[in-house]
Amino acid sequence: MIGQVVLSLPLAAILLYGWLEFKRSWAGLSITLATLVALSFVWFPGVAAATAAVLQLRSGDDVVVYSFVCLLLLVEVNIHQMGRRQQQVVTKVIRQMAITGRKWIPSGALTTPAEEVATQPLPLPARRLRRAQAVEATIRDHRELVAQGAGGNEAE
Amino acid sequence: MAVASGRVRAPRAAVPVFETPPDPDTTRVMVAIPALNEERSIGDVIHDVKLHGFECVVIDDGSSDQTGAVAHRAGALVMRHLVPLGQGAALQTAIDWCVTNGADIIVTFDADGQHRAADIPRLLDALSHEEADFALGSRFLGTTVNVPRTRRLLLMVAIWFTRFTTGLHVSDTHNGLRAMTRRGASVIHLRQNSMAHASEILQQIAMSGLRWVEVPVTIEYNDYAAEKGQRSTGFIAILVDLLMARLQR
Repeated sequence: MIGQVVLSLPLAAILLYGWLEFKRSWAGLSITLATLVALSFVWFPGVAAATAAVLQLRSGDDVVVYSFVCLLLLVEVNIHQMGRRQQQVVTKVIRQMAITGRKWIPSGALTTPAEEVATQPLPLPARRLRRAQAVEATIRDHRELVAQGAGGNEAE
Repeated sequence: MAVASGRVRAPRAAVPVFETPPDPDTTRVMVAIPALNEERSIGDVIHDVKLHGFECVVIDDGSSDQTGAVAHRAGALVMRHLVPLGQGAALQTAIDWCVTNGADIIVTFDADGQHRAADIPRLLDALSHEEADFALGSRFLGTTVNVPRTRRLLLMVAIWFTRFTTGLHVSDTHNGLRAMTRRGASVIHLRQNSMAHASEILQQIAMSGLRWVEVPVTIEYNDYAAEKGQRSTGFIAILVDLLMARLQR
């Protein structure tokens, strides 16, 4: 019983992982189904023993071990796919930066992309622009007040 | 000129690529050269290409040396990836840029000096005379100089694999010298950043149903190209990449 509970804890974690990944990848569904099968092997040793007999394995314990190995392989494939998706996003961003960082200039009259980018002011989003203008206005008002205060003191 | 040609399916639009053979004075040919740490060879490559009258677009794939600066001084248009992404990613960047900037024909060319710019006009001739959208350079129809025996063996395996997976009866694969029309380039969307892109291009050519031809070209394996080229174990990485791409939803 204790062994079954101990084995079920990581399986439950993998089951949750597979369910969360289900929408993003086919591997999520595979992981979910394989985990349910592995859980049935853990909690119903008779099923594991019958499967072992069909697969000509030594015992039901081997089936449980092999199902864990298969599960981890599926998780690894899913992590690899996540890496690929991230890489594709990064590639798109860097490609866009490479392409938009340079305008077509006839060969032989080139500037480096860094120089071109440096000469172009970075556009601020409207919200940040308004905030920056408000801060500037506050600072300006503050300076005017200080200047008036200093003038008033001199008059006294 | 001996060319091999093929088409997997009928093209979607049965219009000839060129109504008349392309006029070298008006047809805009851009040679796309992905480069990573090629400062020793990129200058000579660009000079060779420009000597034949073609525009050069170099994608500096995040080189840590002076590749971009050397290419710039040699008269190429240089775009730079901030970090190295791989030859496939650099090639797709070049194709995207060329398509949106008025290229009629895009030629892909390696930066390590193993290709000869003199072969480019033969690719262009094949495109126009065979009314094809892709002209693929073939070292096995042409000439190879100093090709290592292990490389030849691996290429044979790769050719068999490509024929099996794509249905294209090509005589060479993983040859970086190829030309494509604007229409052909618009169907190429590489997702393989690494060297597996060469197989992916052939897969996408097969999927597009557009006409392709093979043209004999010369590949010279000089010491520098051999030093910079793929390792034999890279074949396994390519297989894994292709498999993972198939598994991706």
